[in-house]
Amino acid sequence: MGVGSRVGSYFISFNKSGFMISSGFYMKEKIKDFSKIVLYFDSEKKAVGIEFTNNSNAEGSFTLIHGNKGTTGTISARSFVFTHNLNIPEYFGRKVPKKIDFQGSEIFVIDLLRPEDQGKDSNESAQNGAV
Amino acid sequence: MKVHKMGQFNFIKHFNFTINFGRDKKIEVASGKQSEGVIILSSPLETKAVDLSRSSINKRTKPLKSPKTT
Repeated sequence: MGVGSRVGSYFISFNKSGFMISSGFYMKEKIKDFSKIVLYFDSEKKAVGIEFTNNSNAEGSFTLIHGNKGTTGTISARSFVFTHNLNIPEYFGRKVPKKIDFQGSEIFVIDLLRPEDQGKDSNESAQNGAV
Repeated sequence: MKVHKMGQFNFIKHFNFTINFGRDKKIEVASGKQSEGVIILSSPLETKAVDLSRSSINKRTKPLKSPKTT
């Protein structure tokens, strides 16, 4: 990143078509290095677990689509939304993911019951320090 | 149904399948299996049979129009 460049907020957006990865999350977690994702769901807590992988043969995985500029990503996961009855507007919006470790791999968890987040600004601290 | 305990969460893995309806009325599952008539989708979670004689699916199995030849 050059001087003065700005990285967007850190969040994953959820809607009826699937997930959209913000530029802040994409850059910070180096999502460009991955091609597939595996989805997990906790029906009690309404929490979604997202595991990024490079294994193209990962069973039941979804394809991660990278944006043209290489700064954002989308996941079309309509089967996930409709299978788990998540097509409810209250669940939609920006969610700040939490990272948890599971058997050596990282899982990002978003809580659908949490109200919409504005996302953490990746440059927040840098800007606060700027004169 | 296998439950993945991750921290405070009890996750169940969601399996994504893609079915391609070919022009030759053959269908293909992401796993590479091909079949005609009835296809069995199986995963660690469940086994599901899709009957191709169902009208809603039948429409999708009709061969596409042949391209016009000049």
